Amino acid sequence: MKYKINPDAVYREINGVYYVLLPRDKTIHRFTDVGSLIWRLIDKNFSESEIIKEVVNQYDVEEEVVLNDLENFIKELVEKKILLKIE
Amino acid sequence: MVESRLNEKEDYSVWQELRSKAKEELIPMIITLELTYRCNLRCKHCYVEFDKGGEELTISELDGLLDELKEMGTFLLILTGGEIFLREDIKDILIMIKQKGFAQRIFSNGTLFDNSWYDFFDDLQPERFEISMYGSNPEVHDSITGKAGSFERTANAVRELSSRGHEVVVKTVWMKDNYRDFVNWMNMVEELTEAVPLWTSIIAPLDNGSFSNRKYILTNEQIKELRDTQLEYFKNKYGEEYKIDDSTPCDIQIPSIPCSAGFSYAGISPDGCVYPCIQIRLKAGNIREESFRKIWNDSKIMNFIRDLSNNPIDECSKCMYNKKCMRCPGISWLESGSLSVANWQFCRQVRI
Ligand SMILES: C[S@@+](CC[C@H](N)C(=O)[O-])C[C@H]1O[C@@H](n2cnc3c(N)ncnc32)[C@H](O)[C@@H]1O
Ligand code: SF4
Ligand code: SF4
Repeated sequence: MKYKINPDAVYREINGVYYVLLPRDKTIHRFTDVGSLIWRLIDKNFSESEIIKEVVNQYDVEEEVVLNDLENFIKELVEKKILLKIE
Repeated sequence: MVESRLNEKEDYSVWQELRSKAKEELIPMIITLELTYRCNLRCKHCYVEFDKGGEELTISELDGLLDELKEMGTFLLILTGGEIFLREDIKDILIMIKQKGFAQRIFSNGTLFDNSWYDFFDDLQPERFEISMYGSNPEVHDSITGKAGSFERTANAVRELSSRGHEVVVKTVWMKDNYRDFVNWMNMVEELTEAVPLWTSIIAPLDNGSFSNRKYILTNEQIKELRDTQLEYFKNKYGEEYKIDDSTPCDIQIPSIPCSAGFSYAGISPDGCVYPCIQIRLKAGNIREESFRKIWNDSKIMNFIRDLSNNPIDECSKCMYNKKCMRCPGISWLESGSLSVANWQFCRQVRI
C-alpha cells in the first residue's frame, strides 16, 4: 500500500517518543517506542523493507513478526488519518 | 503501537503529558508570536501600544526563526497582535507556518475576513481560532471597540468559521461597560459556536507601563453582581448540582512563576524581542542580534525566571484560596514591578 503523511499532521519527538496532533479532528496521539521508531523512518521516507530491517536490527525480533506489526500499525495510522492512502 | 488516546476535548492527558515533558526538558513548546502592533480597532481596555511595534520582522526573518524553533521542538505557535490580518504578507506567513509543520492558533478580531479567507482557512486548518467579542449586540460591543459595524463583522466571522467546522473560542473581558450583558453574551456564544466561551475580569496595564485602563476594571460590588449572575446562570443550565468550590486552607508552596513562562513558553514581539511571556516584558534578547536558541538557553532573563520558580511567595503560600487562585505573575509584574507578590485583582476575585 502506498501512503503519505497527512499534510495537516503536526508531530514532534521528545525523548524518543512521538506526539502527533491532527487539528482537523482535534485529536492528539502518542506513539509507543516501536511506533515512534517506525514513524521516524516513515518520516525519512524509508521503504517498508528498510523499516523492517531496521526494526529487526534494533529489537532483535523475527522479520515475520515485524512485518505483521508494521502492517497493523500502518492500518491504524490510516484509520486515524495520520497517514493518507495514495493511488 | 499507536497507543493513541483521546478526543482532545474529552481527554487532555496526552496534551498535558506533552506539556509537562516540555517543561522538564526546557523545550520552548509554545511560542506566542506578536506579528504586529497595528490594529483597525481601538478597544478601550487594550494593552497594546498601537503602532509602536518597531520594524516588524520580515517574512524571511520569520523563515529563519521558524526553522530554529522547529529544531528546538516548538509545537504550537500562537499568532496575535494587534490585528495580524492587517499584515500584507499574512497569507504567506500562515502558509509558511503550516508548511514547516507547526500547529497554529490564531487570535483575531475577525473583522477583516471575506469569503476568500474562509476558503483559505479550510485548507490551512489552524488548531483553533480565538476571537474577541465584548457584547451580545452592536451597542455594547462597538462602544468598546470604538468602531461602528465591528460587531456584525466579528459575529459573522465566528458563525462562518464555526459552520465550516473550525474550533472557535469566543473570548471576552468583563469590564464596567459590558458585565451586565453576561447572560445575553453566553446565549449568543452558544448560538454562534459549539466551542467553549472564555473570559476574564482581570485587566492588564498597558504595555507602556501606564494603567490608564484601570478605570474599566469592575468594582467589588460589580464583581459580586457578576458572580451572582454567573452562579444563577449555571444553576439554571446545569441544575442545583452546580457549585463554585469553596476554598479550604491548604499548605502548598506557591512559586513566583507557577506557569510555563521561560520553561516551555516564550513570547516574541513584532520586532523580534524575546520575552518569557507577553505579560512579562523583561527583554531576554532580540533575534535580530542573536539566535533564539542562545537567548532561550543562555540569557540572564530566562535563567532568572527559571531560578525564580524555586522561590515561593509567602503571602500566597499561606493563603487559603491559593488552590483556586489563577494569579498571573505577569500581572503582578506589570502592576508592581515584582513577579513575586500577590496581586489585588486576583486576591479580591477569589474572596468575593
Ligand atoms: C491584544 S488582543 C490581540 C488579538 C485580537 N486583536 C483580538 O482582539 O482578539 C488579544 C486578547 O487580549 C485581550 N486584552 C487586550 N487588552 C487587555 C487587557 N488590558 N487586559 C486583559 N486582556 C486584554 C483582548 O480582549 C483579546 O482577547
Ligand atoms: S482588536 Fe485586539 S488588538 Fe485590536 S484593540 Fe481590540 S483587543 Fe486590542
Ligand atoms: S488570592 Fe492573593 S494571596 Fe491568595 S494565592 Fe491568589 S494572589 Fe496569592
